[in-house]
Amino acid sequence: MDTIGWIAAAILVLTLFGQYLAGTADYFLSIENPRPLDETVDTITILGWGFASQASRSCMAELVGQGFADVRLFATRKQVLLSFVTFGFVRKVCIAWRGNAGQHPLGEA
Amino acid sequence: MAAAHMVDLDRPGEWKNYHETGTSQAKARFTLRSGDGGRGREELREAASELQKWLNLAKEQNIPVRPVGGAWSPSNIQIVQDGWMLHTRRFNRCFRLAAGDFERPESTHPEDFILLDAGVQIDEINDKLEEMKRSLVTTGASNGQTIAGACATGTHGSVINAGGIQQHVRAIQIVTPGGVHWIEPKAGLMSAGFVADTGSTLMRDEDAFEAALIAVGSLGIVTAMVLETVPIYLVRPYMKLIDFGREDLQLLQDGQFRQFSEKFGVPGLDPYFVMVITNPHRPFAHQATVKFLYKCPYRDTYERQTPAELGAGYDAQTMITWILRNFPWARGWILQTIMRLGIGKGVTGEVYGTWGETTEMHKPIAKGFTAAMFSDRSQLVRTFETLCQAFSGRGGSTAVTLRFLKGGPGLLSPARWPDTVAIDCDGPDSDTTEAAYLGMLDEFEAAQIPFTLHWGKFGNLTAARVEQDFGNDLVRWKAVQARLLPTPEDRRLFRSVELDRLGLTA
Repeated sequence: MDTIGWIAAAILVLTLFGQYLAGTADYFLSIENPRPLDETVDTITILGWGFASQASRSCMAELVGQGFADVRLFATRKQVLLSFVTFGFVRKVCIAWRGNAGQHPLGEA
Repeated sequence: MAAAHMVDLDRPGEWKNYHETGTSQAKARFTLRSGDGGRGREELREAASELQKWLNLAKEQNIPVRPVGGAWSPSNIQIVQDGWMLHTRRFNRCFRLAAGDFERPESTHPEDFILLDAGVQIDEINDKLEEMKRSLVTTGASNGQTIAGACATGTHGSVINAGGIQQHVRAIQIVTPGGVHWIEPKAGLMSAGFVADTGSTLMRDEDAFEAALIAVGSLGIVTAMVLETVPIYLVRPYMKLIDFGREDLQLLQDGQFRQFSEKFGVPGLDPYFVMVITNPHRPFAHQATVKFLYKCPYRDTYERQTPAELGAGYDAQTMITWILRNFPWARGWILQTIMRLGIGKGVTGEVYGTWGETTEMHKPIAKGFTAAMFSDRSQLVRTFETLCQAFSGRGGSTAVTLRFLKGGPGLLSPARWPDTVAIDCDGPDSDTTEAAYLGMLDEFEAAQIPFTLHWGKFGNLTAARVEQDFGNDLVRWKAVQARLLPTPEDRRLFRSVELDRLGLTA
């Protein structure tokens, strides 16, 4: 019984460690030919396992009419640890995006 | 229809460059935006006029300004403190030229040329040229730089018979507080009518043109360029891991690229592009990655590949930064393993792409170290061996990439030898790697190995070193600067800590 308990505990620890590492993974999505502007990073906090969330609604003058070039989603090690310590109650993630510089048709000089 | 215009982004404060190697505390950040229609000459006239007003406003308030393109340079050359930043990536239209726009319409082929706003990214130029069935001869490995920024720092590739990217430039529009200058070589290119339509004053002068090719952001604000291009072509990439010996390095030193290609590449073809990524930790005991591009005539029917299938993203930096930063003590083994993983099966099948399709936009996810030195290819063996010993021996943890190019053009081109080798060290940033690189440069000085450093990358450039490297060419460049920016107030406008350190604006 003891052995089974230890094995179960080891699996649990490895699962948590694996989740910790995977939590810092970098998800990256880009349009074709991104032609990006500068990157902006915002942190979004999810509380209560998703029952409440707080998102930034900043106004980005340089993105008007152009849209996104690419978006990254990732969490830092500190953010993942915070999530673990709070049993997932506080979950922070970073969203980084870059606007598209715009693509004009070839003009006449 | 909106005209080209300036926008205050209303976001003063901290700004980081692309590779996150430097931070500006800007008083204000502005962007120059293209119009949404109209002819190129009108766009340039509007933009130049707006920009000149903006420069004079900054001058009145004694605020330094700094134009920023792709913000690609890790040397912090685009950083200004307590100044106004000007972002140019949305000033990005491309235009066809007509015979009547040229000084000698009867002998000029207008389809050979393209007029560009200065903020156009290289990727976009490649796309527009493909639409015109044209191509650039060479670019850097990545394609996110703006054309003005890439030229301002002499960005280079590894096309063995080409110089830096500025070799395409035939005319340049520069805006200063005192004027809008259209700079060409003495022989002239564009018609006086066209130049007047862009709101510019014509300056046909060999020295001014040679200086403006590599402006290092210190001659005014570059707003437009005319590039000369070549008919579109395809390239066949070939990339694999090789056992790299000292005798192979000797072949490269001797310019025996065909022989080198016969040994490691596609037999029977002359290479257009040759690049070798080596492991500086016992380089001849480890394998190296070699990449060739073979130039072929264009045909519409080739099977399209993704950039990765064409071996794009070969700058080494992206693939090694993160892991090497965390495990520098195992750098020899890690570099080798990553090279194997990164190259996978290599590119050895018969696939083709246009020049633009072989370059890629990368996204740095960790703070990187990137340095490049230029040296005389005829001393490659000695230079490379000194570099490996001095750099890796001090704990430098990056790959070392050898690229080959011709010297120039431009007074401040760091490729100063007719046959130049560019040696890039790309990898993770750490204090140890930085110290190792600086120590290596000291050893080069002591050993009297001639070298210059990339304007846009890490190094220990000082005013004295720049003066020593460029000699009379620097004197000529400064004479042009004094003509374009005649008053101390004009020159002060373009000052920054970095440029002062290089002796270009102090």
